[in-house]
Amino acid sequence: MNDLILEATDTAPAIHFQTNGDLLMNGESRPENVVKFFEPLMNWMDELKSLEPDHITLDFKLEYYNSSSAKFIMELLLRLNNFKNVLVKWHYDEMDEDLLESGEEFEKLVNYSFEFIAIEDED
Amino acid sequence: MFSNYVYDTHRLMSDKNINLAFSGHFTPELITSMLAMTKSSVSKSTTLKKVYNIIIECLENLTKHGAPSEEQKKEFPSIFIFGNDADHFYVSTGNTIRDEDVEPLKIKLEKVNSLDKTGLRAWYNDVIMNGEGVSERGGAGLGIIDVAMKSGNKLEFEFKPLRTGFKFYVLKVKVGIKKKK
Repeated sequence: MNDLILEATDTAPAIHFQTNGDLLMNGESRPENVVKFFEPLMNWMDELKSLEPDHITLDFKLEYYNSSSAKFIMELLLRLNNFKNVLVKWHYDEMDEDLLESGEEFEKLVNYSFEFIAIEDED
Repeated sequence: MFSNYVYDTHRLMSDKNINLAFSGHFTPELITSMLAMTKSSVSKSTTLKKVYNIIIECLENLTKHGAPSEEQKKEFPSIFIFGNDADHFYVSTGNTIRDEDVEPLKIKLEKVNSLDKTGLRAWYNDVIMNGEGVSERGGAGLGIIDVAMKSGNKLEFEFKPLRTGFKFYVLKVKVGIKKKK
């Protein structure tokens, strides 16, 4: 099984999913075809389950995701319920209270913890 | 006569504090360009980030539901207007929908407006956990709930008579501008 690496585009985030359990999503998510974008991620996660990694750390660095992506992010987070030692690092711009709140809501719907990391505004 | 259109449109936009307006068929490429136009100013404050989110959701709604069918794109242009006054940003859209789609949409919008933030959040979580998945057009049923939560204001909407079988659906989303602390 290989790592899943996708470059960021205007409408889709960069994906760095490593088989050792380190996962990263970075950028904006509003892909034109949301099913086509997320399905390979879901399938990859299902495959990863059989490798039984000793941890999952998801660095969630999406500064924006649309409502159809949200549905898939939920599915992805629910899949993580089946893994050991899961931590989601939820990065958000310190100005973006909505993104923080969305993360807090997601955390309520899963059985592991989130760590919230505020990114300070540059200017 | 033509020059009057230009002048009148200019006056209208300036009187109504409209920053950006487009009428026609909305494509994903166009959305990307329009977002680029607004993004430079967007990440600077909580309010602008909210507005950016709402703009994307509203524009995507136009690409998903803008024309009743492929053939009708030219015949039924959609419209997007973005403006502000001292206290609020306004994101408005207009698009054509079939008569039979008016009632379900109206019921949904009225439900959205009947709920406070906690109620909207509960509904959102219910749809995200138990909803019916993503439709062929890419809608998850979350968009309008999300817009209402971020807006923090009641949605304004209208269904204007167009021609037999169709209505023009106008949606206006208002976001209060937070004063700097």
